[in-house]
Amino acid sequence: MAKTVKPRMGQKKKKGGRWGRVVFGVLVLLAVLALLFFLVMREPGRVSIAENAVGTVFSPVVGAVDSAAIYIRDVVQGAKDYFKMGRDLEDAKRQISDLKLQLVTLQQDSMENDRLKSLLNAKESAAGQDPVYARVIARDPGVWFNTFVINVGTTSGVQQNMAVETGDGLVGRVYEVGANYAKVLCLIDSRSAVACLIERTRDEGVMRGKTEAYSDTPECNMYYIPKVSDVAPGDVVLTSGTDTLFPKGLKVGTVTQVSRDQDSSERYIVVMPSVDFQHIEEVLVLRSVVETVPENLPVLATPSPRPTPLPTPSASPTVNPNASATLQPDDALWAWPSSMPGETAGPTAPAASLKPTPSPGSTAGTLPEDAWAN
Amino acid sequence: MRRFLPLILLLISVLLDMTVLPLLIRSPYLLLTTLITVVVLGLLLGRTRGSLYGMIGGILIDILTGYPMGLRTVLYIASGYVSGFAGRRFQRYLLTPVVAPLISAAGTEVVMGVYAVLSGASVDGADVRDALIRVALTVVLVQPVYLLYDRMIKPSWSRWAGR
Repeated sequence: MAKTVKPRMGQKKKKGGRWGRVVFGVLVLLAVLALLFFLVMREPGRVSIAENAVGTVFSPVVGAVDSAAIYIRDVVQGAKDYFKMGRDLEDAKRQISDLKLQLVTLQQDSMENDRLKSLLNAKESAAGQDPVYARVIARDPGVWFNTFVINVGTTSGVQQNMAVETGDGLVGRVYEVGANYAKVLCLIDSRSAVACLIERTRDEGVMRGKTEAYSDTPECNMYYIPKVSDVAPGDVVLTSGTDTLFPKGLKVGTVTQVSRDQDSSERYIVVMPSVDFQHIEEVLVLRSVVETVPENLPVLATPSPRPTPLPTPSASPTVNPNASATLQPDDALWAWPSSMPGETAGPTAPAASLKPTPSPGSTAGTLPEDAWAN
Repeated sequence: MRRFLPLILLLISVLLDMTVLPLLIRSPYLLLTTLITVVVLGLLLGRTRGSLYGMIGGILIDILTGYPMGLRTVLYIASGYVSGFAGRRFQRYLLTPVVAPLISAAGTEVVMGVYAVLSGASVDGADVRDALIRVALTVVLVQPVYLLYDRMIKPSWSRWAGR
């Protein structure tokens, strides 16, 4: 029974015998010599048969291994890319969400900026009206009426009947005021009436609201327009200031339709307000007291005799056959009175041909009034 | 807490009516949540408390946006009273939660419409149609709110107490 002996620590294990090592050395030597022979003896630019044989056998193997390596590399890279893309996708989605949020915020800021800019422009243009900025804090519930509440009141100097506007135009007027709030009646409310004029034709009228605040066209009607007026769609409507509520010249809207009914009670103009009443968020309250333009004041009876206008002079004055006397161009009645004796007519005098001609008996210093008396 | 729950619900509906809903919803079918709340509270709690909550809700709205002052208060008091009366007197009738809001909503629309016409508004067929749709929507919306508030408030006289 053979007994195997394990080598001790530090003792090398025997691999074959001495002859085996000699044969191995000889073979290695022969291989090296053969290699040197082939390398030395091969012609440059050509491969030998052995070389060719070895290359032909190994090149597909190398190609396959290379392909496999590339494939594995691609698979590994793909896997890495897949996981990386997953993370990138999550990041991109997060960034998109953030950007969307930022976009919405920016859009809101931009819209608010536009609103405030137009409001600032309106404030600058209405600087003489002492405007105060106000925010809409509540609206009338329901659909029948159009009122809203702003966050300024008597503590900010707001009073009843003050005009309220935005950058787009007139909104309405304050109808009740609290300490820190005020109620505003919109133009389009049926209880609202505004004295307006057409910017182009200067025709005046009264604009009244309607109830359809939530319709697509919250239009108002303008009444009492003269029958001969040539108002056309597209004309701009402004406040006329004659109601002593709203300052003159505030934009109200644009004419959209003109009624041509002969009946004056049915004749009106449809006006589209320039303000979007469904989206009012900030307004300006014009705190100044409306000063009525003197030319728009109602004509009162004049206590003193009113001057009657002179008849228009013409080259051939019309002769009234019923008149007892015929006026001649050089008659003193056609004369323009001068303020001082001996002074000729002023710059506003009629034509030179109508200047007073002294009568033969009169002196140079006689006033024309004296001639009239005579 | 349950004692003040109707008041809290009423205040919430008033705020909804004046600030949130007009800002978010642009529609001719905008409903009055305060009216719905007053009607439901009247149905649940009786005519006295219905009128009381109607008065509180109406006055709050009138103080801030009412023009003329008091019109909405009167309407809401009447709605609370009618609903409360119907809720107690005809409590076991199936149609009570339908008829009471119908009367209240239709009455409110009629009074508002007549006042608008008297103040110069031009009310046409489309306005009447919108008003009818609003009344129908109010009646429909009262039903789930009625059930919800009944669960929340748990009134002493509940329509479903005997079941």
